[in-house]
Amino acid sequence: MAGREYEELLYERGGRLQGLARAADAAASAGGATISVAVLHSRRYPAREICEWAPDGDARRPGVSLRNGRAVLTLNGRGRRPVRVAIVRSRGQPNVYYALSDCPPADFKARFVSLLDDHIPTISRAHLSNAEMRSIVGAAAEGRNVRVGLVSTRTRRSDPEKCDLRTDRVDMAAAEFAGAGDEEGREITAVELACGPDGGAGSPRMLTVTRDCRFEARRGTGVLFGAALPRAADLAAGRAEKLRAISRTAGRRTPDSLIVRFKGRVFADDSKNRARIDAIGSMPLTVLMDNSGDLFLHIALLDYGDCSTYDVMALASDELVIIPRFSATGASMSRLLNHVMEKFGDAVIEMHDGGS
Amino acid sequence: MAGIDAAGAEIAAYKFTVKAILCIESAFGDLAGAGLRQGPRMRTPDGSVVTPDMTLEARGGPGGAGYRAVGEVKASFPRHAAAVDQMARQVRRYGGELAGWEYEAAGGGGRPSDHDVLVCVRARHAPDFAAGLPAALGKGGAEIKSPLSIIGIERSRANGSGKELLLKRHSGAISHKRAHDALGSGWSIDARSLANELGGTKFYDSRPPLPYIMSVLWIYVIPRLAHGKKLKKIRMNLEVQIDVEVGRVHRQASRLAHSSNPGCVKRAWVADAMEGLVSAGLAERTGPDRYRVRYLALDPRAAEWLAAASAAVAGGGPEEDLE
Repeated sequence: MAGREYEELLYERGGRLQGLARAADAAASAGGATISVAVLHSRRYPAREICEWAPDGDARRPGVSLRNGRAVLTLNGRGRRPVRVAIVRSRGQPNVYYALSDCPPADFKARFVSLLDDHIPTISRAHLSNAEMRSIVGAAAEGRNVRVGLVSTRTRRSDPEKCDLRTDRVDMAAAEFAGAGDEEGREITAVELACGPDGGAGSPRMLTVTRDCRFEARRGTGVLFGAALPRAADLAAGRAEKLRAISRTAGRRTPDSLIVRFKGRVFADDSKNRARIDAIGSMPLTVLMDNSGDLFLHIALLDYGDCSTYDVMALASDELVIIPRFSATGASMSRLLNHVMEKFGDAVIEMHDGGS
Repeated sequence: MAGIDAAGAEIAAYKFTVKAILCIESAFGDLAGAGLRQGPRMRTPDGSVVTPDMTLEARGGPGGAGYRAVGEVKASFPRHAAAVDQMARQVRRYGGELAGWEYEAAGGGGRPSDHDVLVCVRARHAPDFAAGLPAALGKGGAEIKSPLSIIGIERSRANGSGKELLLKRHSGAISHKRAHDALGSGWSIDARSLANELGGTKFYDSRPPLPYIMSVLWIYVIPRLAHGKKLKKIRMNLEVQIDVEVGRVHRQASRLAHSSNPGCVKRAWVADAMEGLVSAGLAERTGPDRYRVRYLALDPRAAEWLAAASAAVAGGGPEEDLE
C-alpha cells in the first residue's frame, strides 16, 4: 500500500518535495523501493531539453507526460521494464533540478543518466570531488545521528591498468568523515551512509552518494531531501554559474579561462602528451588540432555535443588551462571538466580573468 | 613520433616559433622593461631590408641605459650544410649595423650596431647551436660584433607549480646585466598570465604551412562568420553553408597574429587557404574573393589536413601509460 502511495506521489500527484520525502520514507519503511536521484543543471526545463535533443525515433526517446505540473518521463526499452523519472525543480536553486525514480538504480544509471550524458548537451551534471562528497556527507550529518558505513575508492582512472577499486567498511561518524583527510592518490567513488537507533555498524543502509552526483536512498529520505540534495544543488549551481560566466566570454579576443588544478603532477612528463591528448579527446570531446609545437600540451578541442570549442593547454604539470573559443556553453564546460577530472583525478577550479 | 616528415617538422616549428616569441616577450618585458616588435622591417647598411622574428627595445632614461636586441627563433639546428650557412648569413646580418629602431639608444654608445643577438631554440637543441653556430659564423670571416647568446626554451618543473616555461641562456652573453644573470640561471615566465596569448596567437610574419592555416581558419575563423540560424545549426552539428568574403576572413585571421604585428597575416595566405578548402571539396568559389563554405566541424574531408596540422615532434605513442 505504502509503495503504491509513494509511486502515486512521485509520478502522479505533483506537489511539493516535502510531501515526496514523507511518502518516500513511508514507502521505504514498508519494504519498498530504492529511490534514485540525479542532480541536473539546466537553464530551461529539463523535460523540454530532453524532448528537443533526444534523437527522434530512437528507442531511448522518452515519452513525457505532465501530471499536475510535474514532468514525468517514461523510457521504454525493447523487452525491458519502462523506467519512469519524475523531474522536480530544487527549492533553493532555480536552475537545478532533481530527477527521481524508483526504478532499480542500475537501470536509472544505464538508461536515464546515460541518455542525458550522451544526448542532451544542454543539461549538465556536476561530478564531485572528494572534498565535495565530504561536504555533502557533512551536510547530512548536521544534527543527525548518521554514520558512514562503506566507502568505495579507486586509484586514478587515467591508468586503467593499475586502477584499483576498493570498498572499505569504515564505520565512522559522518561528521568525522566529513572532516577527514583523503587517502593519498585515491578518489572516493561512493559513500554509503547508515543510520539507526544506535547508529552502529549493524544499522540499515540508507543513503549512497556517488561521485557522479547520484543518490540512492533506501530509507531515511529525510536526510536526502533535507540535507544532502540541497547541498548538492548548491555545489552544482555554484560550479555551473562559474562555468557559464567563463563560457560567455568565448567571443572576446581575450576570454576568461578556466584553470583546473589537479592534485597530482599529472602533466609532468611531456613525452606522454600523445597519450594524454588521446585521453582528453573522447567522444563527444574531439581533438581538432594538436597545437603543441613541442613546448607544452596544447590542443584545439571541439565538444561535438554543441560545437563548443576550446584551447586546452597544460602550462604547468598540475594544471590545465581551458580557454573557450568561438562559442562555448556552460553545460559543455561542465562536460569537459567532468571528463578531465575523470581522467586526471580530483581538481580544484578557478577562473582567470582574461581582461576585456 | 619518431618518423616525422619534413612538412610535419615545418608545422611544429611554426607553432614553436609563435610561442617562443611570446615567451621572449614576457621574459625581456619583466627583466629589461623591453617591448617586443614582431617582424619589424630593419635596414642594413647596404640598404636592404631584413625582418627578424623580433626586436626588443627598452627606452633608456636618466635612470638607466636602454636595451636593444634582435631575436630569431630556430626550432632545430639545420641538418644540411647549405641551410647552416644560410642561417649563419642571417645571424651575421642581424649582428651588424641595423637601422629602424623605435627608440634612440640613450645611455649606451648609440651606435647602430649596439644590440644583442638572441637565438631562441628548443632547449634540447641548444647544445647543437652552441657548437655549430659560432663555427658557422667564423667560417664566413669576421665574427659578429654584437653579443650573441643562445636561449633555450622548454617546459621544466624546476621552479614548481605555475611557473614552468623556462628560458635559459645556454651560452653567450646578454648585455643587459639583469637579463644576463637571470637567464643564466634560468628564468621562468608566468605562463598563466600569458595563457590568452599562448592560446590565441596562431600567426607571425612568416607564411604558415597550408594545412596549418587551413586548420586555424576552420576552427577559429569560419564558424565565427555564421550568424543567426546558421550559428544555431553549427551548434547542433548540422552542415551549414557559410558565404564568406576573403577580406572578412583575412580581418578575423589577423586577430590571431602577434599583437605587435596584426598586419602580418597576408591576404594571399588566406586566399590560398580558401583555395585549399575548394580543393578539399569543402568550399566553392562563388565570385571574385567570394566562397561558399560547407561547414561541418568534423567533416571527414577536413580531418585529413586537421591531422596534418597536428604534427608534433615530441610525444610518445598512444599505447603509453599516462602516469
